Amino acid sequence: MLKSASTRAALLPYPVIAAAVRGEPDAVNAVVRHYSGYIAALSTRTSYDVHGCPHSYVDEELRRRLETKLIIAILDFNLN
Amino acid sequence: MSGKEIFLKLFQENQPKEASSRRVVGERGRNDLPPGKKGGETMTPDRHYEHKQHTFDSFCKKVLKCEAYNGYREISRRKSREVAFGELPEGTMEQLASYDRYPWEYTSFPIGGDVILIENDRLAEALNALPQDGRDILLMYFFLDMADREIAERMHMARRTVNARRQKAYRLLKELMGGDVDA
Repeated sequence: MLKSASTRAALLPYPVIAAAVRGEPDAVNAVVRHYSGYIAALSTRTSYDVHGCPHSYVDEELRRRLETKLIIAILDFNLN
Repeated sequence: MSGKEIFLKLFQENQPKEASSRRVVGERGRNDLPPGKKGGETMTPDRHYEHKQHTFDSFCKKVLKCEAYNGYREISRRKSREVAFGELPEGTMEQLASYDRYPWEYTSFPIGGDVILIENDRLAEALNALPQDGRDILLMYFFLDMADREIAERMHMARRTVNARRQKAYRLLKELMGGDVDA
């Protein structure tokens, strides 16, 4: 997704948040997409091969888990 | 209007068209107004929205971070308990093993409806050398846990006969297996 230099781009628009909290699939998708970078960063793990060379990869299991948790947590967000 | 359309519309609106279209009014580093505002309106409801935007952002990040923490803790816990199959200690390995029994590994002695399997070749040979009735009595007594009276009923003889023959067979067996015979 496009990221402008301004901090504004780091925030989701309010209507999207409201729709996501109501559970509308498109809005929830937008939220998940918005945080996909952060999710990927959190689920990146480093493993070392036989020669001791570090090798980082995205743990898919962890990524799915974080996405699921985010979707569940969005629905509990207090909008008022 | 679906959430995606709302999202796209707002996102495009918020992009400055050109450098000169920058609007003033800053709020935490923002340089443009909430959608549909020209500036100069009362900002109270919009500040609420903006507050919620920040709250939501922080909320999501916190949720993700904590869940990632949980995930990594689980991974490290699993790692500390997991042992590679090849590195299992021998005792544990034996618990997992199952041994096949092949008919040539044991000698079978049928008694009535039961079949007694004996793996020890020496014992099996000695038993085979015993007379039929003595062997049956011994097997019933030691392997089927039957009392003399039950054996007597099954074999149609007196209890005392069973007792005497068992003792005789036992002594003989002991002799066959090379043990000292003591009464």
